[in-house]
Amino acid sequence: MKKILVDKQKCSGCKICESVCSYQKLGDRFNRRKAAIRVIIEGDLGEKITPVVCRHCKKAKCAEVCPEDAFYHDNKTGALVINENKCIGCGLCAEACPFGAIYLHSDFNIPLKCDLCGGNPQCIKYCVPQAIIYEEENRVGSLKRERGAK
Amino acid sequence: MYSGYNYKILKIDLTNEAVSTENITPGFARKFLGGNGFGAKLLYDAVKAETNPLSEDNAIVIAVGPANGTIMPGAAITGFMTKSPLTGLFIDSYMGGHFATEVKNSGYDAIVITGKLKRPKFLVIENSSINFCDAEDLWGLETTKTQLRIKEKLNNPEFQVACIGPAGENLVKFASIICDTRAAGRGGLGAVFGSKNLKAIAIRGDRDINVANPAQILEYVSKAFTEMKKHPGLGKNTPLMGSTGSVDGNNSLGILGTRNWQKETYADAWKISGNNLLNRGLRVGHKSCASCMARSAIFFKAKEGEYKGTISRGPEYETLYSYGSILENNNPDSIIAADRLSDELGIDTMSTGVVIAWVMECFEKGILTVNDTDGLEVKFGRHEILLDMIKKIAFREGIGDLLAEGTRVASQRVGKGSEEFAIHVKGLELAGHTARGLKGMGLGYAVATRGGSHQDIRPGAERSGKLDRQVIEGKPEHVLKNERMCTIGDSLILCRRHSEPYFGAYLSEKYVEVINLLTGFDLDLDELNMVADRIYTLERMFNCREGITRKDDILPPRFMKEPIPDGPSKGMYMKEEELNIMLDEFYNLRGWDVKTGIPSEKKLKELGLL
Repeated sequence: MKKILVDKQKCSGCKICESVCSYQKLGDRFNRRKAAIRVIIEGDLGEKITPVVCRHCKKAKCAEVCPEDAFYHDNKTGALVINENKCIGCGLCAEACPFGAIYLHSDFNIPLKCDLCGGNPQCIKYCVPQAIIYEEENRVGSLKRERGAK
Repeated sequence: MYSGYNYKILKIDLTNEAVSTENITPGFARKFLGGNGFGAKLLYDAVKAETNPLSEDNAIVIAVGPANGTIMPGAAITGFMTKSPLTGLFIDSYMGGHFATEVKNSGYDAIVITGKLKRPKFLVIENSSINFCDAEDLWGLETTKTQLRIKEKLNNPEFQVACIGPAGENLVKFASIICDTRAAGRGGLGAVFGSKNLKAIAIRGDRDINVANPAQILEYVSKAFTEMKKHPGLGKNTPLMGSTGSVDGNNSLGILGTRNWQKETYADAWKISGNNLLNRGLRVGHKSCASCMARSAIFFKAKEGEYKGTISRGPEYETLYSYGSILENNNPDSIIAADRLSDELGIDTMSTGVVIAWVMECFEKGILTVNDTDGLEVKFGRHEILLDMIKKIAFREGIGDLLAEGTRVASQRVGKGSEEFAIHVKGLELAGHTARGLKGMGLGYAVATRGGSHQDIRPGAERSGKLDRQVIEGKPEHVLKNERMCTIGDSLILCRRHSEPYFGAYLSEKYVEVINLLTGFDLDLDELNMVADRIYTLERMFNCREGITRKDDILPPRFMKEPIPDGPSKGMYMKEEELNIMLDEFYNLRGWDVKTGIPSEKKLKELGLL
């Protein structure tokens, strides 16, 4: 199964991924506040930059706390997705996610969460420094390993 | 209705702490495009002639354009316009980061700020909610602390905070506005904030951003990225070293301002060059503004001496010039520390460096001595005085009080021939690009509405050899076309670091395509040229209203009298007759009166300004 892998060191904080994600969700507009991937910029000079996106956990805390059992793993992509018919929009999942990778927005009845765009994630296509890539999950950590090996 | 606009201007009256909004029409949008254009028009209407820039009658316009908030590469720029306390003329200064996106998300195309607060406050703008918050406890704080404190107070790191530091509070005439680590540095916008008791503006918004053809924009950007990655500058050098590569480039052409422009070659240039910063391992990270693929914001960390450990987001080329070569300062660690200090105190590195270089030459010529500087030996080559001098200026201590008025005023007050080597145009200290070794650049500086700025005219075409830098033939037309590109770029508002290498030095069908995709206009190149001319001519009218005429379109005496003494550009300078020939042609092309340099009535009518 493929995952969106994040390399914090490469991310420059341009937030194009947020805009592209929002376009994917909204269809005809941009709004970074409606994206399922967010880039967090911290530090005195904004030097700590972290893209935050759903990790599609196998034993997902969000799914565990969902009172309506609305989460399921998509067979084709392996993505952890929300059944919109079941979801009641309570937001418990957003509270439970250890990474803060589920977002709520007053314009939407269900939470904003990465669904891997049905196996063709758009954000990674626009990431110039390739800080986010879509790779087999066995590659998780490999970037760090390879860097260490050098 | 065209896309790309919110069709709303937020008007803030600080005196009465009152806010209102005003709608703009699609016709207005198409006529002035956004950013630079909106700012020029709104400021022209908001500020009367002869207004004291630091009085409550002056206005500040913050403007964004149709590209901001979208994924167009480099669509990160916020424009700030005011009547400059440094030049007494129109100034527009542009800042990267993420502020512009929040202005757009908040639902505005421009914010017009007038009046004066009774006590220090900061503004909080969140969509249609606007609050005036007490800033007594922030007054005196440096810019990083100010931003962090305000985000803490608002309990939301999504706010972007544009603020001033002590220099702005102390009305230093070249104080900057800082947001994140980006600066609207030039022309003293920070002092205008300070004069209004306005410490900061925090802004965030939730609104959607519409463009006319979103699918095509995505396709366009995807293609642009592929091409930009292959570009040797954008794809490789810029993310590695930002603009610092220009030190070596300019020095090798003999056009690196050195020793207060007494020379244009610097034997120690390599020490302060981007390559040396990299070789010494001072690069510790990178960053970008919104929707940026150039990633030119490089973090450098000083490694030696008293500067050890200081990190700055920069210096960029202009600061390596202003705190390096023109001071003959070959200590890059001191430049890193000075760059950070300047951002923290909220002061423009270019003007600050140039005014210090002027003091150094005054020392050299015996016009000023240690008795004037509280014992500091402000001599060429001495990095030891740099941080102290910056602080003196920012806090207006000792000679800093005089220097805080800018090089023009300081040289007029000190006299004794020091005006001859005061390096400014119309009061704005010169950027790090020669006015002698590039003829078009020289003309561009002379006529720039901002004064000594490298953002009305760009050095690239002549520096790269595309145009013969030695000749004046064809340069007026080059300047006109280059200015048009800058004006439109500043209206969209796109970062020059993307638009210039990708689109080229002049407006072309590429700009037309992008603008039409964003807005849904069906404009052609002729109309776009007209928009650019309308905006630039309006800026000129602002300046003419303040008394600017042809006689003011000149260069510092050094550039018109002293040939470059050595190096690859030896012998070059701007002869008065050369400048005059170019001015005649330039005014003719612009439709400005050749005798006076004032836009003709015919031209104003043609541009729809009358």
